[in-house]
Amino acid sequence: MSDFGLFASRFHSNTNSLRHFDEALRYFKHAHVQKSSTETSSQVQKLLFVLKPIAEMLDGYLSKSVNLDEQNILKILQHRHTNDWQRYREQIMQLTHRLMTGDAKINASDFEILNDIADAIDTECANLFRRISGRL
Amino acid sequence: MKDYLESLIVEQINRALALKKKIHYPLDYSELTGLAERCTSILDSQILVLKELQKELKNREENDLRDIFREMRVCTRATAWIEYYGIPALYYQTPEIGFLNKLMFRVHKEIKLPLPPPAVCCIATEHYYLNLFTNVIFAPLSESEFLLHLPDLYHELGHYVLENRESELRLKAIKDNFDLAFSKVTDYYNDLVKSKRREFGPEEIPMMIERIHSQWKAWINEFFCDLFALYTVGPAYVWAHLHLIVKKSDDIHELSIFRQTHPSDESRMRILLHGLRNLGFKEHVKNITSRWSEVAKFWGKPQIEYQYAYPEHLLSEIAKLTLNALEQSGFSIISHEALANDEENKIRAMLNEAWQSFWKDEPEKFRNWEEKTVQELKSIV
Repeated sequence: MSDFGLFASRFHSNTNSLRHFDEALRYFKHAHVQKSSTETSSQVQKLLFVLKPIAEMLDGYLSKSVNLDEQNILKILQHRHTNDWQRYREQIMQLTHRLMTGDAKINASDFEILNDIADAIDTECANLFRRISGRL
Repeated sequence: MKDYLESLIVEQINRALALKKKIHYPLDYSELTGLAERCTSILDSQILVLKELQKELKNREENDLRDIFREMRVCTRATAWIEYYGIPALYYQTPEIGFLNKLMFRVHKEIKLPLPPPAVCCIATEHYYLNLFTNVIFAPLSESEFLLHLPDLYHELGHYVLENRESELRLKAIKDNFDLAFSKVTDYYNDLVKSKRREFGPEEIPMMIERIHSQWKAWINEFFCDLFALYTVGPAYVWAHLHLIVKKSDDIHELSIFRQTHPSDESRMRILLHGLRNLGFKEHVKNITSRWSEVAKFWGKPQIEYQYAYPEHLLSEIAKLTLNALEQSGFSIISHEALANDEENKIRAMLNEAWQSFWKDEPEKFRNWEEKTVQELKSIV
């Protein structure tokens, strides 16, 4: 496979991750979310699919996930949060930990973080798409 | 912004509808039916998502549009992909496209691919590649006139198999072994990073190892696809790969901490030699190793950090895990016996014979044989 193919493959994986992440985000936007339902757990998993590799990286471990370019996504986030990176990093880890321990309550500042992460994946996708289209 | 988003969504819906009209039925080649259906279904699903977004947009405040903005961009990129990498194969149904699609159908039967065959389109502006979204393999325009690089089609099939490993139950062994292989890679690099941090050496080394691990997410795909091609078409793939390196490689020991899409050519040859040994093609191992060591001299020595990038034990394990996964998934693995059974394995036998003839005959004599064989191939597919 050419470079094109590889970028296309990474683009495809990251796009799928973004779509699932955004689906979950929209689900939690609705006020009637039941904290303990099967549907809620499944949507939490969609969020964790992205959050876990990022949190692992922040914690100093390499992630076994092959569906997300978490190092690039972290770089984008770090670039956008240079001023408050330490605090922001902690917030991501705390949010991930809460979701992993079954606390599915998402408040306004959590939504901000989740939207930031989704924006970073979108940037990574746009970046890969530009490479595929030969514009980089 | 709400008004603007609304206009963008409507524009994208119209674009998707216009693309659907570019698919003209009846198709010239029935082998392209799958692609036509896939393009239609992807375009329909984008239209559906966009219409949902339109509805969702009405209930949103001006300061709550971030996810809608992203989804609209995802749909725009998806539609563009169909336009760039799906529709052209359907719009320009040339005889070359017809032949390569018929050939692909035969290949998929020979290797017992448990999925519908992907489409092939020969309008590539570089070497072979697969678009995973449309399932179209792009090949250079004149590929239908030559045999030596056709084994690269099998490598692209590897990407197609890998992409479907999660959704196709018959590929479960591939999913499991692939995950296991990457898990072994991660364990190895986690240990390496830890030990390098303990050594209190330059901070750049652990950082570089982290980057190498990140590159493995792409590299492991390539290793799998190289092995997939070898295990299904046989030594012809290794020769084709060597041929490609000689023509195109700028550094067989490539290692960059920035985005390096492919593992180095040197490591790819090493893993392929492991694969050949696993298959028991001892004579080919000898011949290819000998030719490879002559060729490799044209490039210099690797940088010091290269030692961290492609450890021998990982390459050997991946080669074994891949063979095991393909056997469990019911693929027809190449063997001396399979190559001797000309009728059931006509394409594979022909592609391996092409390489034998290439090494044995004078260049002009080989080309005459190749031209005749291509004609024969066109008449049997």
